[in-house]
Amino acid sequence: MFEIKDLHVNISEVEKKIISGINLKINPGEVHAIMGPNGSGKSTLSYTLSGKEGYEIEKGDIELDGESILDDEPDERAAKGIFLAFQYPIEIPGVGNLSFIRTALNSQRKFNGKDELNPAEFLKILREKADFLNVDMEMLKRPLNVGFSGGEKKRNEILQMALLEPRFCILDETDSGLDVDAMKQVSKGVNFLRSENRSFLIITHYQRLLNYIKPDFVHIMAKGKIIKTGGPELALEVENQGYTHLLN
Amino acid sequence: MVFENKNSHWIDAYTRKFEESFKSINLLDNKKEYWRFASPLIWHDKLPIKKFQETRSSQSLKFDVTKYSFLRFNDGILDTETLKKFINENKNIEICSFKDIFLKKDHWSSLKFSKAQLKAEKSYERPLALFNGFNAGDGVFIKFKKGVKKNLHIIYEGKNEKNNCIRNLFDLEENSEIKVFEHFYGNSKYNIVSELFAADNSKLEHCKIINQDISNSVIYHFFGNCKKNSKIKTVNFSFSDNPVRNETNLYLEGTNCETTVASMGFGKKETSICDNTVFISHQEESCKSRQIIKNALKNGAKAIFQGKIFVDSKAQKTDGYQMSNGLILSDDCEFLVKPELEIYADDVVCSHGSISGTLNEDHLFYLRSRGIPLIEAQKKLIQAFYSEILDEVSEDNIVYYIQNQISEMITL
Ligand SMILES: Nc1ncnc2c1ncn2[C@@H]1O[C@H](COP(=O)(O)OP(=O)(O)O)[C@@H](O)[C@H]1O
Ligand SMILES: [Mg+2]
Repeated sequence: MFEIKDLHVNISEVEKKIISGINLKINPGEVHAIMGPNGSGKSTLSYTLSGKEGYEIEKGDIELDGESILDDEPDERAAKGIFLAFQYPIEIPGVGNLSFIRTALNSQRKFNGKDELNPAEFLKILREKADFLNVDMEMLKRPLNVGFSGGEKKRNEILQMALLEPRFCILDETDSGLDVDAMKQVSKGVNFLRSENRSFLIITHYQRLLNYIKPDFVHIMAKGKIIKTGGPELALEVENQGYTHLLN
Repeated sequence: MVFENKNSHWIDAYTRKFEESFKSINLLDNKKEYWRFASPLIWHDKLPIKKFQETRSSQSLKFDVTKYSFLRFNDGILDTETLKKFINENKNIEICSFKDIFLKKDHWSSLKFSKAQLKAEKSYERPLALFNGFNAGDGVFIKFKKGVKKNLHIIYEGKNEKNNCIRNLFDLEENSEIKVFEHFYGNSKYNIVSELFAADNSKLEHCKIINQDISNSVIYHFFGNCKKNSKIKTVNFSFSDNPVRNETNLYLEGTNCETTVASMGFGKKETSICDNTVFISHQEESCKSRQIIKNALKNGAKAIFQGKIFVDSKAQKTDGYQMSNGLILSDDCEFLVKPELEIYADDVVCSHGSISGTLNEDHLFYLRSRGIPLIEAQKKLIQAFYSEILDEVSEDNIVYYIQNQISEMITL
């Protein structure tokens, strides 16, 4: 179980409070969606959960199975099963995609006391998942995300998620910038990964993604707080009426 | 010319000239632009040379013996066994040790000897190359005949406590295609001059690796004259904790030459200085030159890059490029850069730039967010920083070797 308890977060650089008291309990197998206007703190929340530097926790806790992960480094959180699909996946010239994904997978296996995969074993698994997600193997031989289209970058995130098999997946506006076909691909990946011991936090600005990935709960976030929680019908309400009526 | 006497050899005239020129230079004169960031005394000090100590042996570099010929220098002297073997295996290559040239009255090299160095001296005096000129104890002179293809691996090792002056000459005839890999390890101190004469359509890939266990300084002058359509590449790797200066001087004297000078240095100690001083002179039309310099520095290490592109008024359609990058891994490090363009032609494209910085935090976070521990993530990014230099090397085993060295150095 993943739990966010009365979380307050400041961005150290600008000494600005962005998250002001969030409570969220996510049980295994559940899919939660967070919707909210731009600037409401959704990405800040996702970075804070994955342990990025510069996000100062003023108050509150983040727990995985009842244990705080606040002292864990980003790589330790990842190895414990937290995965963030970035809103803006970055390009890293000079780092090969394949060797990056293999190092990531083997680092996590090592952390969890499992044997590392040799290149052949790794390639076999990678090929399977890439095929399923329609990711071109040739593309993966290039440096990490370099020269990838927006859609390719997002699909690469989902591919990494499929390979790393995390327990708690955060998708930060994975749908933004995708056309309908690409969004279907991404949703197919997510739905395939849905299982009773894996949970999702899906951040999105639009309701349309939730037509493909059916959430159990929908939360509306504004000004660093969750202001309303409901079922999928809440997403439709936002779609039809916008956020303004909820904000007042 | 110097008068002949029966005991005098044609090289003697040069030797005397080098000695005279050297003695006319005051090494303490620190106003010289050319030594603006580091004094020549760093490579030419009277300080005692560090005594030999057994260091942990670096992993050795293995070459496919069917693809490569070997030469070995031990304490600055060319090993006669490897030389004999080379002669037996390579009938279409003329080779002679520098020492043995003194035993021969005539030698093909008399037409080339010092010509590249003296040409370079016209633009700047290079005192330590002059010093080499009258102190060289050995070296290898090789003529690769027309159309010859050859891969050569030269090892420099030793443990003497002397300043080993070595002088090489590589003569590439038309259409020859040569790869030369030079590998330095052990505890000796080196002052090396290599001259290159690249005839029309010849091709050279030169790669030099200075291992981290080199416990004394290395200064290496590479003087090249490049003729029409020649393609010359020189790639340098330095992992030393001690001062290394690579001086590369290429004269592009024929049309359509292409040259690349690429260097990476990894400094991890206060005593480490990695200096690349490059001078590319475009003398003819439509030549291309590229300089790519990368230094990663930590624990007070220092790096220097002085790079000049000179374009003669005749050298229209020159394409010159120069880029240097510093990766500063701790605050006490310095990367001192002095780029220079001197252009007398009007139809020319020349660009230069220099960027230094630390590891990119967003890149680090991305890698770590996938479960890669900090040190491994740093390793990946440092390797990425160097990838452009490694891309220049055609031999995979060298690329792996360098990657392992980098990896070892990061964990140290
Ligand atoms: N590094 C930063 N420095 C300063 N302000 C920031 C930084 N990152 C985010 N913010 C601010 O925090 C607020 C929330 O941003 P963000 O979490 O990206 O919102 P969302 O993802 O919901 O659009 C915005 O007002 C944004 O300008
Ligand atoms: Mg956002």
